[in-house]
Amino acid sequence: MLLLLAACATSEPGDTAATSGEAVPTDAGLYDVTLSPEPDPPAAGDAALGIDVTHDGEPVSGATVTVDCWMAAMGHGTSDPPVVEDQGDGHYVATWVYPMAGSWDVTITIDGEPGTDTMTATYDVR
Amino acid sequence: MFVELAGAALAAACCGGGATAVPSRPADCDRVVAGVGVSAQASLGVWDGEGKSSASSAGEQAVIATVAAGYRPARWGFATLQLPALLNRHTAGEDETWGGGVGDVRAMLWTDPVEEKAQGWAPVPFVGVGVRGATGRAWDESDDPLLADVTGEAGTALLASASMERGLGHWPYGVALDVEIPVEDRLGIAPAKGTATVFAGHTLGDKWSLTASLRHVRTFPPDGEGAAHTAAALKLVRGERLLYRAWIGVDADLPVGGLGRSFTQLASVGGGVVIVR
Repeated sequence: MLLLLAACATSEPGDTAATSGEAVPTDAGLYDVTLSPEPDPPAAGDAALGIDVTHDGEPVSGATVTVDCWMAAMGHGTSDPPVVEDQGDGHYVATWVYPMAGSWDVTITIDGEPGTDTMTATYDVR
Repeated sequence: MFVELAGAALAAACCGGGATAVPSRPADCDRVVAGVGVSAQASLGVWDGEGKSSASSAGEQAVIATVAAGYRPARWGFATLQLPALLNRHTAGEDETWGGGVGDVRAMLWTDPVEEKAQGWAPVPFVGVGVRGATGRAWDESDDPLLADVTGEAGTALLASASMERGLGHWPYGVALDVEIPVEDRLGIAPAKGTATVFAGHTLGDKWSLTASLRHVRTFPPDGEGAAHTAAALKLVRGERLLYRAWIGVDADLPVGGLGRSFTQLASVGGGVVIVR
């Protein structure tokens, strides 16, 4: 079960916070996003990421959320793109497989009524 | 007298490498060198994005066979060709997958204008340029979530190499620098790679040599910090001039914090033989 934590925005747009439970603004500040990786800390193999999206404090439902994983140091991603499921009330869950350990950039793109915005979180996968 | 580098990275799956260097460089009096090497490779742990070394829930094992040849048409230059084949086993938690196939081919042209028998302590330069061809399967062509079927990289690359070698009596030594620059990548974002190697050895008569080397590899992605790893290797070679060279070797990343970044730590053992004419 993923924990959903409502939190006030405490970071600046452009931050790449990978801390569970901390709300982070997207790059242009359109949304606040709380990320909950599972397992935490991330490990190679099956991965899930809880994504809670709000706009002006209200959950954003029905948005198109896409996730991309990239290992910049080695110049490759995953063989299959993450699958994102809208579970309602602004809560989305992305699932994929980390093929190897290392530093991974997870970029989340949210396309909702307020507009399109992105954010990137960096995870050290063991 | 000759010295073989003990730790050239070869047979690249998407990210790894090991001491499978087949000594395909013809010596001054050689015309043709051809043979095969086999190595077994396994992961030890991982360096994270901050350079901290730790165990990993992921595992990588591989058996790599490499065929190689060298041809020296003139005293001052030679060509080498290497083609690996890989069998990979990847694990993550309780998941296990297998894959493999032909890897990326490497072809190089070298010049060594100074004869090995030159007197004095001045090192002998070797300079090479070449190409890595994408004959393997890259990550974006993979059907396996753990990328076990990856045997090469996503595009071709230019290769450049320069080394200086010398022997003081029975104690050869040298340094080498290798660079790999992607020139065509269907994804447009492959990192460049640089390898710096220092080595020293000892020859026992004119048939045996033992070489130790230390190697640091770094990638240079277009954005962000690259990966890095540092490895040590040891190689024992026996050969008879104009007949054969046989070797065994071990190669391992040094699992110490700060000696790597965002890279799987690997170790390998290998051996092989080349015919020399």
